[in-house]
Amino acid sequence: QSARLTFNLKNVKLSEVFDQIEKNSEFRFFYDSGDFDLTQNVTISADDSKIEEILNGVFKNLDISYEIFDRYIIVKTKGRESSFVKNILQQQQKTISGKVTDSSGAPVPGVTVVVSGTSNGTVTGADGEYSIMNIQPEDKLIFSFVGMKTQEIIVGTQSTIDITMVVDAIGIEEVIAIGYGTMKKNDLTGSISTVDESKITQRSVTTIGEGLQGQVAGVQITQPNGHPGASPVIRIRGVNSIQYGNDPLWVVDGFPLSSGWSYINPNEIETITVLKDASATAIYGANGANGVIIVTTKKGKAGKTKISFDTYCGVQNVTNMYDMMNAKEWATAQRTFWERFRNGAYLSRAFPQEEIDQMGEGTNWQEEIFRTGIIQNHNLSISGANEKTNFFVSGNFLNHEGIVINSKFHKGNFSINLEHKANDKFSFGTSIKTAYEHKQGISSLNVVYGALIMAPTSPVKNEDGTYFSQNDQWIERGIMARINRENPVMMAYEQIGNSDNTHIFTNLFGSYQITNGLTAKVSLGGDINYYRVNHYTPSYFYSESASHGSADASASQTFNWVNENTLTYIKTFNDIHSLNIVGGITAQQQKSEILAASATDFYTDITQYYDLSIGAEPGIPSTSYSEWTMVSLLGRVNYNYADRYFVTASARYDGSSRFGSNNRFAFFPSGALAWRVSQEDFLKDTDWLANLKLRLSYGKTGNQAIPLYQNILPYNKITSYPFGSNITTAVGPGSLVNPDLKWEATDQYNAGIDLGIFNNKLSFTADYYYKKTKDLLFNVSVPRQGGYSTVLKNIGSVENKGFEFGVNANLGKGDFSWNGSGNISFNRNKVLELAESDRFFGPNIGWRYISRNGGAATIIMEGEPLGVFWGNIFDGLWQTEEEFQTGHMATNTNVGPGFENYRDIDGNGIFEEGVDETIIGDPHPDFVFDVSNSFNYKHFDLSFNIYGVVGNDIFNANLIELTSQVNVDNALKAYINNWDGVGTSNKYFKNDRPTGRSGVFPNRASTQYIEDGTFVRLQNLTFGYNVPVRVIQKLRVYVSADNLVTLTKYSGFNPEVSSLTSDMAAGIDAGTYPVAKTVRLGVQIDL
Amino acid sequence: CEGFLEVDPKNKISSENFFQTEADAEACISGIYSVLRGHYNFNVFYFGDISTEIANNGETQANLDNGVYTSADERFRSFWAQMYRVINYANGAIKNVPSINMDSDLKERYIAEAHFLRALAYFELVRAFGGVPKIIEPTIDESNNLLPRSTTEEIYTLIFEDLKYCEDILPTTYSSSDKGRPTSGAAKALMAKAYLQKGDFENTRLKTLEVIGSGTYKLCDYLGDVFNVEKENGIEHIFSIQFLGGTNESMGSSISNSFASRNVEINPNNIASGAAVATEDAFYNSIPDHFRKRLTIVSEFPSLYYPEITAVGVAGAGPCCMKYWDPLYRTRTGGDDANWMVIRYADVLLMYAEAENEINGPTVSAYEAINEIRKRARDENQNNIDDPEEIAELPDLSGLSKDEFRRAVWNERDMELCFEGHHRWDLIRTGRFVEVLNASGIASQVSETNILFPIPHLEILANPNLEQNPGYSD
Repeated sequence: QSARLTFNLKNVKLSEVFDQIEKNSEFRFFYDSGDFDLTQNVTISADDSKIEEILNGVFKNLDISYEIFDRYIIVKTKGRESSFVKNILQQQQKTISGKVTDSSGAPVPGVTVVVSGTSNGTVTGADGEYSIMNIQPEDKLIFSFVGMKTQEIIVGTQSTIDITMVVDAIGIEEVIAIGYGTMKKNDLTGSISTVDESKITQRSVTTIGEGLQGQVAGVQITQPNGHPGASPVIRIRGVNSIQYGNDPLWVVDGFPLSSGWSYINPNEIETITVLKDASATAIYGANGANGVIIVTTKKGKAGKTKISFDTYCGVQNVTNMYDMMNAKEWATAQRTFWERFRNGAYLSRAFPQEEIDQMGEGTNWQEEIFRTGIIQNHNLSISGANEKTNFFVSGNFLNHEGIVINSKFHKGNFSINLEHKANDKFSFGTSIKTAYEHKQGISSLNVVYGALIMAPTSPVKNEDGTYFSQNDQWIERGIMARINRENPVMMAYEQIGNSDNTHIFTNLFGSYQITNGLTAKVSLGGDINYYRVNHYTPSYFYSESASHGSADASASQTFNWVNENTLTYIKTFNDIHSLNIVGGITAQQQKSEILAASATDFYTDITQYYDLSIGAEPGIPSTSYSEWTMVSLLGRVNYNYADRYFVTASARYDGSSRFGSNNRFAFFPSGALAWRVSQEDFLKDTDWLANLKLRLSYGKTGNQAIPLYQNILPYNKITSYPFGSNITTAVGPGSLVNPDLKWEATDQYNAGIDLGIFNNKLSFTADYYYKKTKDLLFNVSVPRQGGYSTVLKNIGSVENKGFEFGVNANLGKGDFSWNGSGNISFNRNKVLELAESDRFFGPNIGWRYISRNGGAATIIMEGEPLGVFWGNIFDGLWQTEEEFQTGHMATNTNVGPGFENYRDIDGNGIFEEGVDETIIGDPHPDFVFDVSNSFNYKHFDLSFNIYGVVGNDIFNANLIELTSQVNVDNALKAYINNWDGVGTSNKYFKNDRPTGRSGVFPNRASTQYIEDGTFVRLQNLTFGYNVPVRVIQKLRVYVSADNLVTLTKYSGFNPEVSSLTSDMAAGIDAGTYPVAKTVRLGVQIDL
Repeated sequence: CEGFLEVDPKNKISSENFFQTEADAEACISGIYSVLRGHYNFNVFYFGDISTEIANNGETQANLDNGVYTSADERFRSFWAQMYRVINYANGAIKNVPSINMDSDLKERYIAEAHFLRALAYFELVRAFGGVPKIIEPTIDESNNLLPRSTTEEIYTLIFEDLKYCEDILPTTYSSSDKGRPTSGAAKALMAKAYLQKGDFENTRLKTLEVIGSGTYKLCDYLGDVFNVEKENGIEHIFSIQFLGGTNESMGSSISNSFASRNVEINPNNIASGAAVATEDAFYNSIPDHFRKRLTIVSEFPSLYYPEITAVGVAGAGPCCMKYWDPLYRTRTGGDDANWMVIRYADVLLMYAEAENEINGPTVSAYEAINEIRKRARDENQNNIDDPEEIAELPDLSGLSKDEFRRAVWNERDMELCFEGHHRWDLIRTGRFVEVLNASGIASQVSETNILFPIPHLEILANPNLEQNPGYSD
């Protein structure tokens, strides 16, 4: 209003003057038509004058007066009362209302309508209508809704404002979090994907990882087991490191997490950004090699205080069970075995034939240990904001009783996000997240496997109500089943295994705008984790016959703090040169301590681990300590020219205490170019093409997730040695030190294209990447003659390369809208180089049925993917004595007709152990894909996604025992047709043990246990209904099902399985707690 | 910020602060003993007895038990690794203890113990694999890892050097808080064993005479006391690996468990774990019935000598050896109490008898040595008097030719020292290995090749400088 105007108009109509002023200023004229003559001519000559001066000049010789209300000028004949105009203005100060619809005319509920610069606001109801009081004509209304373009309307004289919201085509102006800053999506140069809240919470999940599964191309998420509370394994663009750290870095609201992420409440998520290529991750330097997942949690939004309540309840069941022998079948097979073994010398270990004749189904142990699981979750959040402060508080409670009896998980979350703007320049805030997790039944793995091999002749309980014991059966009757195998039902209920996990994560930050465009930000955060594990095995367990009950308790606490200091400069010059520069320095330290104690010999089972002093034999208590520190300098420059050409360069210089002083510091640079072709003049007017961008990047990142203190030769305490009764402490050198240890480093190249057509209703992204990780750290087996078995070395390199494609489409007409998206990723992993030796075996998988190659089932070998399965090729069974004697295994004295024919791979005519072995399978999928659809029609919504993993192999270690001799353990029903003479079977061994063979066989990985792990499943199906209720903003009820249908040839419980955490032994199924199918019913209420 | 990046590993003893004090020296020497234990808890009798015609591995007979030798057999590798771990620990002590500021006599003794233990480890290796890599410096980088095999002769030379070094430094006896450490007599006895393995009867005779002449050792009066877990480290026990059950650290053995009868009431675990050791029937039947046989090998319960075993019936896959019977082994944590006797005086007497006979024929002193053992072996009533019925069971030897005497000693060793890890090596050094095993018919045929074990497959893979023993594929 204080603007100065310049006018030179001679003899023009009064109406023309009003028009000119309105055109050149913010002022608007109001008058009653006919009150005065608009056609009379006037002359103005004003140079840089105030409005009053101009108007005084204009009306000088006329019988007209005026009043200025803010930007509104009321004009009237002098002395006349203009009640009409005033009334209108006063009315408009009261209330404004309207209806918000989408482009098809359907009402849009839940749109936030706020008066700009105030806390006055509301949200549209189910019918899309809103109304706001106390509006001034000059007020500006802001209409916003996720996925729609935000619109701003000046109220003016209107009393009704109806708005048509337009879909924000693929977030064309979306601002997303990148490391140490944010950026408009259009300006990105790297390979970055985002997932917003609706994708994760629409179908209700218990962890963020579960919600991310299938959502992002290039991110493979596997649920290795189905124990309640088990966290998924996340791998971005393949596996880089052989032995250490393939987990991506999680950054929550700018803070790098150090003690896990799975406790974060999925309901708090606003958006998730996944940084995949090195131009995006290099800003995280030595922590960036495995990709970065940036989580932004919800903040309060201007408007009415929002209360959201979200609750669901669900049931779970196992997806598949093994078809096992029943009691009669098993007892018959077991008797056959003991008849054959040593010519029946031990036949008394079998059930008498008369007893077998009376047997029926017996116990189906799988049915005994599986149940219908129950899962329920309740979430409450309250949020709001005014012009200075915004807040978001939430609480969540999850109770999950798993599909294996007595397995449980509880979780409680509480969090606060608070931000306050002290003035135009300074703002600060805090975020606090706490969680408590309790897990019960953590030894369920043994329960699941126990249920497979437990003899079906054994009842769950004896007649007197006590648990049946196979050991007692052996002692009392001499009837043998695996006597050291506890009753799995008893194990599930009586063997205690609990863990408790407490997380406290706090972050405090302040930012200050130094000058226009230059902002300083300081943050200090702490991440505290307290973890406790307890076990108790009661004295009456068979395994406790010597120890009489054993208990242990261990606690670890970790404290990690991070201080980050950044300066950000954002400026646009001459409208075409845009700069975004960030620089910073960070410091981080972590300390962990562990305390553990144990005891045995409990005269009573009442107190369990709650009072270790009851145990008469205390164990040796232990404590341990670890610490690491890191200091970093970082910087990044983003430049774009006319929104067409984009350049990004970043660098980080990290120093870490984990490495020796020679290799303590490392430098991680990156660079990227992008060209938004669609902004070029020759394409700008092409209507159908909304976006076409080409991207190219390179960067280097590191991995510092290696064991600590590898740069000193440790002397460890080993088992003491007694001289008579004098017990002496024994100490010996712990590991061979490698003075040349350095960082694992990954170079990554990326080329990508983004395409959006038809107003971005259809968009498409494709990326090709090539990653080479070198100086890989690996515990290399060394010749044991030096006294050590392994040494940590930087031994070689691994490459990952692949394509990722993503497509997204939106359609809407009338009351109907559809969003479809799909992605597919192809990753190829290969070991390029292993120094000194061309192969290493994977880890001992701890499966008692494998004794070859140090207990490994996998190998790491040059030219092959990491951790391929390694073993013998099974060529069926020897059928006749003659065939066997003339064959290549004749010298293997513990084989014979009815037993395995392993291929003589090198063709030298003799099968040799340790020599005739080869690659027998690959746990890496050929590709992973997901297709998601969501439909909305009026108040209904329906969404589903189909997730598939194709071309991976699974080593089903369970089958080794389930398809061999029935002497103590149960076997598959199919094993009834085992070899019993020429031509009777070429698959299942004779039910016997050849002379000269040790108890368990065939004690190896071989092709007969390798299965195709391909699966395609209906991962989620959700049907929801928005109940139109006037008094509340949202009431949605939905039913949602996970893993309802799985198409697979895999014979085990579930093809999504990986019993070991090591990436070098992935895809092994060894008695794992299976992933379940779930059906949930939920309600979401917003007030 | 360099200072910020220097992290103090508070919970680690490291090369920076170890080898400073007398206590460090003691702990590092105890470390050698501690790692030695693994081999004598299992492999020693698997190689020494189960691989021969006198014993089997119960129901789970495989590999060596059946005469099948493959370089991929994990057992060879675990043996190899264990022994070299002992050697590396000993090398570290020999290198680093001298610079510790401490009582010089004690320091000298500790270093001598390390030499003894290194010699023992090399002796175990050389008689099993032949020449092995000779490593006498602690491993601090990878140079030791790639050393090739030395000759058998070079390894024996090192063994004798080590034992000669320590035989005069080590004390003749220890106070009760040091019992279990090697004595001067132990060094001489081990030398005798090594000479005998090489076929050097002259030196065997000299060294056994030194042990016998020292008067430090004698046979226990009652044979049962040799194996009584309450009477370990006695007058007959020259060097034993120490196991202690019932502690919260696993210092116990699993030897009692391995040897215990598979009778379900005694040891039901073994039926599932399949780890029991039993006597081959042919061997059992070849021994004339006498007190020693009834005491140490039991074919049926109840047994007069083990009243605490109330179970009745056959022993299982064969008569069981009671030499390592710890009555408490099933009801106590931390393992069994039974020590493993590496060398006992009876072995020395028999070595003397054998060497004396080879050099001088069956002299009076040779007869005295063997008959001393037989006298105790029949003395059931512990009166130290040869009762007529006892003599009838196991008479003194006399009037044998040199060859008859030689065979009588071998025979006596089998009866006296069976299941103590000696038989395989006796068969090999006396040239009977192939003949005896093949004649027994209890296993596949063996050949001269099997006299030496194959170098473990994975070791050859890791160190290409290692050459496989003749007759084995890599």
